[in-house]
Amino acid sequence: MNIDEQLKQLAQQTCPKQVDVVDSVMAEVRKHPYLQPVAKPAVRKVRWVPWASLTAVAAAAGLVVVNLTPAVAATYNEEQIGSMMASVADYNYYAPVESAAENPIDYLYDDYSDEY
Amino acid sequence: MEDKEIVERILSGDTEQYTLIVRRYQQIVANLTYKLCGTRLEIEEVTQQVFVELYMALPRFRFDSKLSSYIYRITVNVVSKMLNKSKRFVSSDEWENPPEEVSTDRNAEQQIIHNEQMDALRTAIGHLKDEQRTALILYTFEDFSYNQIAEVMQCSLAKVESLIFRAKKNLAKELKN
Repeated sequence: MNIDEQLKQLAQQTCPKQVDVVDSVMAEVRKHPYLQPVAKPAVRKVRWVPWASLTAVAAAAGLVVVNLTPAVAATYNEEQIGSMMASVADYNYYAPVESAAENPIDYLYDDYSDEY
Repeated sequence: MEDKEIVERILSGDTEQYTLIVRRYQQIVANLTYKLCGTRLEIEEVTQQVFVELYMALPRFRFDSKLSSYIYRITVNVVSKMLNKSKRFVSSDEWENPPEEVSTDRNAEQQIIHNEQMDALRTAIGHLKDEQRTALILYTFEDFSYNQIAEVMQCSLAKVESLIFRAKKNLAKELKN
């Protein structure tokens, strides 16, 4: 009898006992609550954004801004606001908010003067 | 319920669903553990450890492979760690003999010879290196393909082929002696 045949016979012979580890495993699992759902971070409010910057970015994006008060800002949907906030974040990285606040449109044009 | 759905529920916080995974796979893990260890003594301990480690690893599981393959991989790792820790592997002396096989095709003398052959084979398997033994057991006892073994053992197909080839060669050599 060659090795393969012997192994095949041995494979048929193995006979492990029945196990039930459900209770012991679940006892361990319940000790680790880190898999519990984590609360989603709250969406930042529009009022957190420097008002002048938001106005500047909205203008640069071609939006007609008459008076971007919180009440007006509330008319934007979450996606629009999120997009503006992301832009503001990038913009602020390069330009101090104070500078943009003085004359937002001119500042933007100056900043990207190569493109105009 | 499919494995994926159960896992998604668990990761959503319904951890009690994990009982379904444990019930579904515990005997498979126990069978493989027995074959890799050669003793029933640690089966429950290892099986429990496998499912605790699986639970911890669930957030990293992306269903790129079957959950069963992932469980096999963890089992092999846990058994390997356990054997390394205890500095012993399948022992010829400790490999518990299964209920004696009774064949109507063999007379008493043939049966004795057959049982001795099986004992010698178990002993020889116990003397194999860990990797060779694991590959051989997955291939021979679990009917895994080379590809599946490569996935479970996290190695190349060529290495699996080499491991099984060398395992059989070493078995043949030891049995001949």
